Amino acid sequence: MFADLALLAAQEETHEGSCHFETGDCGFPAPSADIFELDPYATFSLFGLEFHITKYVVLAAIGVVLIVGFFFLAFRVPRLVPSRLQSVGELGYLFVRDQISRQVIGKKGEYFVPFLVSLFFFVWVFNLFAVIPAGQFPVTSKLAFPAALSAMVWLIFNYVGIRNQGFVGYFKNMAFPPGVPKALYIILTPIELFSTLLVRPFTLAVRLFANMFAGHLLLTTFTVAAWYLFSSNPFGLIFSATSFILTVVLTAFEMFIQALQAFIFTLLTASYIGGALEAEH
Amino acid sequence: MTTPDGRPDQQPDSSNAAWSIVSYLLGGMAVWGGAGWLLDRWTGQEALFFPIGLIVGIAGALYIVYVRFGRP
Amino acid sequence: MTQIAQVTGSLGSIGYGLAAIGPGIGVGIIFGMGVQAIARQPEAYNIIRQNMLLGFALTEALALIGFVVPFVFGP
Repeated sequence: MFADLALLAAQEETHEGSCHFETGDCGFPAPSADIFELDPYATFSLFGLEFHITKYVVLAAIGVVLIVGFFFLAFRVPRLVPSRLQSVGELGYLFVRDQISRQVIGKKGEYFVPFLVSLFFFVWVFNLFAVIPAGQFPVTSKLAFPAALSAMVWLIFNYVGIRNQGFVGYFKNMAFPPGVPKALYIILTPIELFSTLLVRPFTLAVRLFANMFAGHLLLTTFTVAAWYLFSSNPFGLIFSATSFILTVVLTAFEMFIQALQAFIFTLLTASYIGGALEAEH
Repeated sequence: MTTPDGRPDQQPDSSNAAWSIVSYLLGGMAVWGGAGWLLDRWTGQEALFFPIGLIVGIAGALYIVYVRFGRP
Repeated sequence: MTQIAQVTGSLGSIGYGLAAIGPGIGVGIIFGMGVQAIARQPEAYNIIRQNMLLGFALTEALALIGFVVPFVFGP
């Protein structure tokens, strides 16, 4: 929030200098999609590809260090009666194992619980950077991050399905639902294949991306409105205070949405893996 | 997943049924709507096969939803 | 005849906004009544769930058609 205020104040000063304090006739600088474009801190070339180190990369690296460090420290010396850090780590692990994996996949999914735990905590911490000061961009609001996670999930559930049901059997079970008159297969099979192989990873990534993008845009709009409406007449103060209170309320709502989106991502991943582990009907 | 009184669900993919339905609908519209649109471009018509393809796609997707989720 | 009101710009988005009112209410009614039915008789959960999903699919199809029609009849 304060980074956005500082950025917009700097922009105002370079152009007109807080014009709405003095004359009150410049427009509202509405945030749009280009607040997500950031200048890179460093660029370097490797193997002909250009790498830009932007704030997203730095935040993602910090997130990785936090999660790996936390779980490493929590389970470094595991005891039967857990220490304090270990019991917090167990809380996180058992939440994913009991509420997501055992509910959806059942006993056969024990092999995938570490992957689901990692996925849940990575998505949640990447989302949380939207409300932490000095971070303030949800890392998952750049489509590359959810797209990479979704591509990984897609590879895993296809691999699990092919390994469990055989290559031909997996596609036959997916493409030809039982109990359909044979002539309708011409219409139904392309729909099935397209929707399972292409639409699923796409909606998985876009759901996470769109929720975080929209949430961040909403918070930015109300913050900029609080700053813009703040002027010397009393009505401006009232509107600005209302906008500020709304920013606080929306931050709480946004934190709930972040946790929910992480949960839904992990739940759907577990469901796709479970569907690939056993043949459909 | 389990039903409210503790028995296991008969359909194993109950937690993603709603998203499956949306993705079947989108997939049906994309596949057969896209085929209709390509046919329009190939024959040079103006929006003749595109709506037909969309309707066929939606009908097919609704039938798949009935086959997978609606049968007892 | 003088023009009193005019709508310019993206008519497709207005069209989708109007088209999404009906399915929104419809989906709400379906799942609301479904939850009520489960609350009254929890052992009928599977039958109720099947019917809820069928109704949801039919209603959602209308919303998605509303999204696509501006592209079909567009410029």
